[in-house]
Amino acid sequence: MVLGKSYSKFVRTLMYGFLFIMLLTLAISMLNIKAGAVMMKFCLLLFILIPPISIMYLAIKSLIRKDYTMLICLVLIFVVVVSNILTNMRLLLQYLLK
Amino acid sequence: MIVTTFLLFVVAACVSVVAAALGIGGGSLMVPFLVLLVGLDVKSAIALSLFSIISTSLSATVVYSKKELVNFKYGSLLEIFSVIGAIIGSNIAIMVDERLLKIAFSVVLAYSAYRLLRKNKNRLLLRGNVKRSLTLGSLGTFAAGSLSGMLGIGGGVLKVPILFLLLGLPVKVAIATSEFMISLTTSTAVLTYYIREHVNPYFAAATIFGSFIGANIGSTVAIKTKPKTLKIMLAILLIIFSSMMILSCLGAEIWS
Repeated sequence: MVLGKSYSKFVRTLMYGFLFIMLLTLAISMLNIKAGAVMMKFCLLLFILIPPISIMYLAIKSLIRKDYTMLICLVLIFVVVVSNILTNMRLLLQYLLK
Repeated sequence: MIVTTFLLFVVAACVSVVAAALGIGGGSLMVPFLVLLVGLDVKSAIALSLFSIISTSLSATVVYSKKELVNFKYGSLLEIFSVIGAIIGSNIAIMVDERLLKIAFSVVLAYSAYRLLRKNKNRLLLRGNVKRSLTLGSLGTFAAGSLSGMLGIGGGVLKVPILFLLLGLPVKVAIATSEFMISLTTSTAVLTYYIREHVNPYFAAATIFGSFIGANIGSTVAIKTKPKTLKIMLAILLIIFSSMMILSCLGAEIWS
């Protein structure tokens, strides 16, 4: 049952890291609106990617704990989420590089 | 612009307190608020609502998992169907009559509320029937994922009753596990809106910050609240949503 605590720590680190970057981006936006807007797009993408990254962490943890049922489920979820991102990759790049 | 950003921050924080405490995403509360109060168009409201849901569910999951309340095994098993449902949901929405879906959804919600309010034996799980419960649960979470993709909601209003009534998890564990599942479903659904430029990045930032604060308060409150109170609050919420669905089928513009 230690899984919950370590997962909580990992996601909390990601969340605080993201919030710090976002605050930094807001500060940049005040100095240069155009650069700030581009950075903000990347920030939001980073935010969307937090749940898949946390799934990857859980998968590694369940591999270490030899919980193969959970590992298969997590890998399946990860594959579905990543394939959804890859399917939309062209539009995603178009939006980010515009 | 500054007033709208501040309004979004406040609305997101308030909705997230309720959402995190009851294990829902909060999209069904957020979208009408953003359209009616802030004056955004529906697509932007759905997109911002999805960002808020991710922030709410992640923050709530951090608090709940720290207390070891998340059942990762059931969560990850059922989430496969929810994520697939979220992707397929948007495509099904084109083919199926939305009214029919709403009626079915409101009936399920009303029935769940009835089961939650019953004093004894309010769980559908029977001994030796775990397989059947898991099969039904998978179908239910698939439907929740589809609705998430279609209506911009988290799907927690379906996931919590499934985890509590069908799989027999305690109400606090059901709420915590639902929040864990919602973050994944929503991150899949939000990408579509993000790449189609329905999101103002600064509005999204305000919503995320607001939800982060609100969800931390909500989940802390839920941990300290009695399970019976949570059950009653959840049942009331289900009845409200069920009524809203039926009203919107009758022509009232609640769900847009």
